[in-house]
Amino acid sequence: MKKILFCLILLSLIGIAGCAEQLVRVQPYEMEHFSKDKMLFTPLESRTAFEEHIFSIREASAGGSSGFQGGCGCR
Amino acid sequence: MDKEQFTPRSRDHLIVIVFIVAMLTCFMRTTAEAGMPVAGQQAPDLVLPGLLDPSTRSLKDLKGKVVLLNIWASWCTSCKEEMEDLLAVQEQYGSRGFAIVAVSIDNDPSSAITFMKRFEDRTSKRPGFVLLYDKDKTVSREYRQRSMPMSYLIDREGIVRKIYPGSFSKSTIEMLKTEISEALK
Amino acid sequence: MTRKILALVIACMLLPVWQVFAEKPRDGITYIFDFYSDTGNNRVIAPAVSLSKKLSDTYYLGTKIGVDAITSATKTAQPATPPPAGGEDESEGGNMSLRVPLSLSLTYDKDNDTVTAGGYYSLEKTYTGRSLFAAYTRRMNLNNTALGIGFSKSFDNCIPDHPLPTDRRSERSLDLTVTQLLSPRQSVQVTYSALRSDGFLAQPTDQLVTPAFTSYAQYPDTRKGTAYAVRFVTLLNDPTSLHLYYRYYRDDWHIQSDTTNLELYRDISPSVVLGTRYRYYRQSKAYFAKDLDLYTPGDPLIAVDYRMYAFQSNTIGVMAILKPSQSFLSKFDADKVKLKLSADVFTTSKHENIQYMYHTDRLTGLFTTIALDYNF
Repeated sequence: MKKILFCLILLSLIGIAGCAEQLVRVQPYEMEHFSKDKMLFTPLESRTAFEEHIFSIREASAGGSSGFQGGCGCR
Repeated sequence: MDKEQFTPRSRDHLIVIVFIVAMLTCFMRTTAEAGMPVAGQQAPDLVLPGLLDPSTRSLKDLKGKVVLLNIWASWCTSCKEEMEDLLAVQEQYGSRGFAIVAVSIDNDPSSAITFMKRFEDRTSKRPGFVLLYDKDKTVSREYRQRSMPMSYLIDREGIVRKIYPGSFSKSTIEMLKTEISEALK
Repeated sequence: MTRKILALVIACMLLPVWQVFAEKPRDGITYIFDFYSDTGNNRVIAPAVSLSKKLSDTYYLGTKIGVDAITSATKTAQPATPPPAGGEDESEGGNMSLRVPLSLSLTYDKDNDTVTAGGYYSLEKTYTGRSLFAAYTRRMNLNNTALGIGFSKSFDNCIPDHPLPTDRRSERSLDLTVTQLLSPRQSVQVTYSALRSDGFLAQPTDQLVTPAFTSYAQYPDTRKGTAYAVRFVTLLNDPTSLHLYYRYYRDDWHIQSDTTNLELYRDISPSVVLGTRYRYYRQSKAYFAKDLDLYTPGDPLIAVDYRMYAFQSNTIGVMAILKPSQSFLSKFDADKVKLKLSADVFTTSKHENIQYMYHTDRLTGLFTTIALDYNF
């Protein structure tokens, strides 16, 4: 069953790759808004890094960001 | 599906495998290039207003010269970074019948004007570029622009000789100079 | 204390130009000053310098070095029931320690591929943190789509003041990210994270004191968690953008959590961007967490830290991004300089374990960041 599911997913992905044109929704010359700080996923990188650190100490959850985690011995 | 066969661990493995396969299958496909000006084709003409002055210029006005058409914007960091290199190229070849046409596609021309004025102040030179402004991004569509910035080397007969996606690096600027020298012969 | 803080800040300002890893390769330097303080008498002052230097057209070297001055209340043994009203609070006492974190990385960035690898090291009196990380990003479809995979593994050691089953703590994480532009004004990012921890996972100082017995906190030896997150950014109108974020987390300790974050940014002028945010967090409790007075000497697992229990927290904050005018910076290119400021306040729900550990009903904290960016 898992093998069948795996093969189906693999075939779907190959098919999806054929639809790459549909994923070009913004031309390079239309990306002006994304160059602005307010449109970045993390407009304030330092704050994002610091608060991930803080919330990992003050909460029991982690993950969900594209940043890295390193051992810090935080208490 | 039997839930016992699909444990959280095997689910995680499946997610990772799906992700890796997605990355690999994306190597198999490139975006369509239909209709894009390619090397050897006639460069589409463009008629646009100046960025710093209201006069209208046309690419046909420069026929007989070797032209580097550079499409840029003030919001594009690498576009701004390559301006000094382009200025050097203009100074080196400008007297031999070479011209750079820099077309700004900013939504607001004041950003491009501010950048060019600061550029002049910083370099203490007025760039000898032909500075044009294309609010409607017509040049981007006609030249099928696929990156920011993008440059097209056009020879004396108006034929696109070479296309340069992205900004010029130290190595590619030397390649550009070689191509310009060849085109000026 | 003030002189020490000033010395730390000045020392970091004078550090030679190193490079710091950032999410995108940059050729620039950032001076950072972070501050944290909460009603549990914990305080962190963390100046740092972050540098990313372009070595060639494709390679970037990154380094970040800082000094964290940490003051935390000495957590002495507490009875399971709070002391009678008017009784002395014996938990006060500030311990200041210094932690020196350093990270180093190398980034290869060419065409549609970016690969980064690096390491992190931090040293303080009773704890050493080490980790390695690597990430690969593939951009596709004329930069409309990006797939990213990141991996990190940490190897930490602590020096406890009492015997522990092990002094090691190891964590591994895998992050998978898909980013897609939806329109010239909208983008979305989906992230999957798998986290694994093993070793001594409790806090060595957490101690339960009851009339019947005294015991340090004891958690399971391993912990496996996964997180699913989605982030959406849209331009509401020309000057205003909206950021929405949601994360679902769960692990094999039966802790589940929801995190929601909403941010609004607005261009006030060409030089000033202001922002505001609201974040809500809630979680369930670990399967081994009990009311403090229900623990018995025979319990193999004991939790004292409020983080192993169900609670919520709310965070509000304000941010500003300032670009100085050229007339203000006569010798520098104003386009290359940015000042980023933020201040956030969080507060947790009331919980008896917070009362037990910190002698306050709920934890409220303030954290601020100041970052000065300069691009070469």
